Amino acid sequence: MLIKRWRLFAVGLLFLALFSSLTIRLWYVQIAAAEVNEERAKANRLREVQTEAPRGRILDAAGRVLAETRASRTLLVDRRVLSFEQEEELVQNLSVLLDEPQNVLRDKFLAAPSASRFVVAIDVDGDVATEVLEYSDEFPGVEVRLSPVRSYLDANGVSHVLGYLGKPSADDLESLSYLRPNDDFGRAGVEQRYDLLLRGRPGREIYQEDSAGRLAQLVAEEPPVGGWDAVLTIDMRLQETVEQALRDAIRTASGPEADPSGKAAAVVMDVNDGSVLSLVSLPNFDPSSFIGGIDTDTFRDLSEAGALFNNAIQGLYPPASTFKVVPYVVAAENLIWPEGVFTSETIIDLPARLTFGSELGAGSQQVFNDWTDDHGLTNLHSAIEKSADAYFWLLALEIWRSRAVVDPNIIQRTAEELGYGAATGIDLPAEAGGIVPDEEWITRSRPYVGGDLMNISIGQGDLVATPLQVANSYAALVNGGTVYRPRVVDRFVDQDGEVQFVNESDVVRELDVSPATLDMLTRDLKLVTSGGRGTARDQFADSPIRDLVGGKTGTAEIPPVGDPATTAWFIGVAPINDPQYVVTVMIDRGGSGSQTAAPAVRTILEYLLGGG
Amino acid sequence: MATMVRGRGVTATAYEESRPDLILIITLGLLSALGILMVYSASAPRLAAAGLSPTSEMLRQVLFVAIGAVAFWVFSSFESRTVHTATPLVYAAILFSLMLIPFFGVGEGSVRWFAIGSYQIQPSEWAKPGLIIALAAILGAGDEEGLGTKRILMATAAIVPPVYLIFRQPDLGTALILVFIFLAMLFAAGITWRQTAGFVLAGGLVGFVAYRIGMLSLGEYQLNRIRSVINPDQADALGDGWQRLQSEIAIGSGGFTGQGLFEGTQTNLRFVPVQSTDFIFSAVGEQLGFLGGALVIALYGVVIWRLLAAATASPDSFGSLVCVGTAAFIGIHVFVNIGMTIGLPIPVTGLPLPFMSLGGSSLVAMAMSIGLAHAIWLRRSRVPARVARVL
Repeated sequence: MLIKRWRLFAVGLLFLALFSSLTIRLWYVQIAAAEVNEERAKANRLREVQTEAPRGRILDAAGRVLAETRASRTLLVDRRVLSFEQEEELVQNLSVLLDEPQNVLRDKFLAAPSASRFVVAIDVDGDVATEVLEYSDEFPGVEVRLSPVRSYLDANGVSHVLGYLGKPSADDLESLSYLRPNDDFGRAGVEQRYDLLLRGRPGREIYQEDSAGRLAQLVAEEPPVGGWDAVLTIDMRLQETVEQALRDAIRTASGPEADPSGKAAAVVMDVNDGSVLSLVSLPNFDPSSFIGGIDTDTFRDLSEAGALFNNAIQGLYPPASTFKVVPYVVAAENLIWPEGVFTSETIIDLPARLTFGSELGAGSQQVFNDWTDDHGLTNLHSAIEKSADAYFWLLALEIWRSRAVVDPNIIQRTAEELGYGAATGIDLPAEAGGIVPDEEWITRSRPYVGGDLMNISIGQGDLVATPLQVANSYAALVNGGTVYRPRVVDRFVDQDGEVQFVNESDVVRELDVSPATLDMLTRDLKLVTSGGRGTARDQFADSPIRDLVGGKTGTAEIPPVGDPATTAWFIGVAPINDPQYVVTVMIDRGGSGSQTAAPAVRTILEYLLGGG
Repeated sequence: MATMVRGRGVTATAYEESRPDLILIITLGLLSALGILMVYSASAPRLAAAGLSPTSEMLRQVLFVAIGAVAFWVFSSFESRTVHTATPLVYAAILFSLMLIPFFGVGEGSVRWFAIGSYQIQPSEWAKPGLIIALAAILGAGDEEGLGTKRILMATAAIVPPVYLIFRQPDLGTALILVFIFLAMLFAAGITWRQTAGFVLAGGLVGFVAYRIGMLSLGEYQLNRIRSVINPDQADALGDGWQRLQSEIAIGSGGFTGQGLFEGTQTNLRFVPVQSTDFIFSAVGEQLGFLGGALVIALYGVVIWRLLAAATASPDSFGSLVCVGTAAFIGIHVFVNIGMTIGLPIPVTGLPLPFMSLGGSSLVAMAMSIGLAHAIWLRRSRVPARVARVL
């Protein structure tokens, strides 16, 4: 039997007919109906979809990258194209694909606004992406894109400067009109302060919608413009040295007054322009843990440990003896001296204990015990060198006694000139201002008495300041009297390397203090580290930079009275003949300033001066 | 006549003179090359956006085309007699692998594949050429005038088990394709009007009973598919209808000459899912316009023409039926696939466009099938070439 030719011919005709109908339909779709389609397309509404711009990097002063934006392969889900049933099916398919529990994914869907495009997974590997693209009918509305994702490079040490990113709350969305619900934005540090400059301009994609509100066609596209790179004044090598010095100080703190809480802060400033070369707060955190959303347990742990609190600019501590330079300046400038003293050279024999009757006013502290009983013969210079409380008490007493002719708030006014009691204006968010308790402040709650003034004169009482404020006041005192606004960002550079914005160093004010006084103070600070009775003499005795530095110790009592622990302070200044750096270290409950804080400052200064 | 060419040496020498069908080979080459180009244009932007190598899908297709070319060449060299002899074994292997699918297969929603490394093998693709030769062997045997009813029943008995297994995967599309191929071969084999009437009646009856006892129940997935065809504009929740609508918009935007190669992929094609596989024709339509689309359809017409020419030239009915089955196999894929992308009401999706859609199993299966048909073309002379020349 052979096949009949007409039957083969008929099969051929069948396909001729079928293929002809395809061609006719193709003609209809591409030519005849084209005008109709165009009309229909015009009637559709347009919808704008924003595309995220890569966030600018954050570099240290030497150009080391601290934060960058890398391209992460991201799965995006467009809820606009999905029906409820499809979403349910998609959740199941994604659960298998991403190996994530369905309820976790479902939560992500529920958290996203109903008509939004949201990120369902970041850092997806190539195989998963290939599967999504290949079986796109099983993953409707899912797009794979390279999206910019923040990444921090070993940034724990500088975390309080950098800050971190997070999603905006409803309040944030209201106050920051440029934010959209799914945006990341800076929630702390430089990331927050300079969010607008770092984030760049999002791109736009304009789509036509079909009658059902689904994206049907891309009409226009405007690529995003990347954010600018921030160049910090911080030097990361120094920052690491400082962090290590603080950790060592906490670890080695000893003595009856030492009970370290783990909190500490350090600020290194360039005294000549207010640049912050290092700013460390402990405990710190890993900014990367916020990327892609931080889980509530981790966040709670960080909060409870105080790791999100920047002790350097938010921590309020009594500055204690580090504050004695303020009454020092008041005395030298206004020629107000303790009774029997006529110049800075006049020596008096200091008692270890001062006791008063009614002279200081009702309710005042009446008995003042110096921290040591062997100050003995002391003048203004050695009062700083030995940190003699009694000298400054007697000075305060004299101000109190002459309050009819002398401004009884003269110490506080001078402190305010130096930047105490108000935020320094550093370019970091949420800075605390501290308290300078003057007559007006104290009389809000109780009468202003002589004891208040005496306590303030040694940096105790209600006086509190941030480590940054202390650092900035010393910077002004040793640079010839200029108070700068501290800054951590030097400039912003665009993608082409062009400088777009310079964060100039601002002069807040010039102190009304004579150069002679400031020179004298600087010389006396040197006595603290190398004088015969300097409080930090032992700590610097064998340092190769001993003759190049000066400083001031502080050991603060922690209210309420009765807690034996003290907060350790040391301010270092170098080179002492022509000061360039001020190094401030504060160790919470670290014990004695000379024992705990001074060695840390020594380590940092030796690094800075190349002696380490 | 066959005894004349029994000696192996004689056969080889004699049939070397038969020229390969260059028209068929060039046409297939053009379609494959265009397919590679279209796979690249449709996949590169999405792959690049996802941070993957933009050529990765295209290179896979190049590999598949190469394997297909080898398969075509190997199968072209097969003796029709050898193929005929191997038929029972091939049939058994197909049935066996389809029966294993429910136990070892993979796939979400529909279980159709065996996973081998990162590649997936779909036995229902291999079933198509296998069943074509099985049907050709049954329908083409015998010397009686016309097609005996017994043979029709035998062929039906051979085709029903694999079709039912595939239908249950569920893969309605492939099952319907096989039925179409079967019907085309029945017709070519010479089924009479009377036999046709009886066949339709009996088939309808059996089908009705099977449906009533639930053996043919359709899943929600398949019902959705059918609903979306009936009313694509309203097919909101139904991804299928939307895909087709998007494909139609994309092709419509191509106009007469198209938007140009590699143009427009950023626009419309972003919205056509599975564009490098099932919807590859939407890339042709959008980029190359009516001219390109019509050319592609015409090229497939050439393929069908050459296959039917081979059927005419075959010295025996087995060979003719293999060629007719292959023509039906390729032709129906083309019609269903292109029809789906341009909005013809076809309730079947997931069928590739022969030689153009990204995919290995179906491309190689088609190359094998056409290879067999080409083998028959190569051996078309009833008299060995050298003898013929001498004569």
